[in-house]
Amino acid sequence: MKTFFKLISILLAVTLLAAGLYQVFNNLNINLPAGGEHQAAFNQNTNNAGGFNGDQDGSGFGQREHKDGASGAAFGWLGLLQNVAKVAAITLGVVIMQKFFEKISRNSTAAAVQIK
Amino acid sequence: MNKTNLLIDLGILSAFLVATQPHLTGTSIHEWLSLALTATLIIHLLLHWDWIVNVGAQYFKKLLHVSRLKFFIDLLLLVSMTTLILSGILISRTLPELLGFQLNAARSWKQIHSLSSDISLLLVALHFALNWNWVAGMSNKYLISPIRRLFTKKSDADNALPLKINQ
Repeated sequence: MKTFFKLISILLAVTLLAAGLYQVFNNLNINLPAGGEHQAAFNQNTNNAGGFNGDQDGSGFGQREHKDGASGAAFGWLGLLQNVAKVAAITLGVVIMQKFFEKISRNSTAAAVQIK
Repeated sequence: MNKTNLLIDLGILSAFLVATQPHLTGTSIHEWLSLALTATLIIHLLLHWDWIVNVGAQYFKKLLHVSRLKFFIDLLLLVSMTTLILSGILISRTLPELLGFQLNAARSWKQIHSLSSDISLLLVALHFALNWNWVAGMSNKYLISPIRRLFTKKSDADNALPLKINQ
């Protein structure tokens, strides 16, 4: 049963990856230099390149979405770096805490042995 | 097996970090990448199924406190990721278009998606941090050491060359 699930998952992953790659190449085709009548489509695509569709629901969630393509991509890179920094900071904090507690427990064990 | 686990885990982390930035990839790639990530997460769960069953069975019995904390964080991560994936599917634009149906999800799903994304990022970071010893050990074994060995062999060969010429 486990092997069956593994196979299904792998097949699903491969299919999705293929579909995702298809989407990437599809977008790249649209992004090719355009002139004349294609310019409008190109501009539209550039505006949506970062997935910005405005704050359609008015919920405030899309505040960051009012960016054009270029600054939006820069915003995306900045966000990615921030997330990497968050993960690194949390990892560092947890590892330091773990080492600290390990040291404390080692010291307390040594003290208990000395008392005995 | 450890090598496979390491590569899958690093792939999941990288893909998750990229997927949290739809501004960077665009909506379409964001959605497909997230779906591929969902499938990979199922593989990740299956690969660690024995650990889940063992720790789950002994959770309220005698168990190392770190394993108990890991299990608790993983459980929260499962809930958060499930919320993230479901809300993502509900507010998806590419998938319904492709499959030929329309989802009229409530506006609040977008907020839920955003909130669960932030919580998931925090929990993923904790999950990564709690397994840091394993990640560091395996990275050293399968990624850093082979590269170091390559350079060592090369420098050995460079040092040996003048000797041969002298002889």
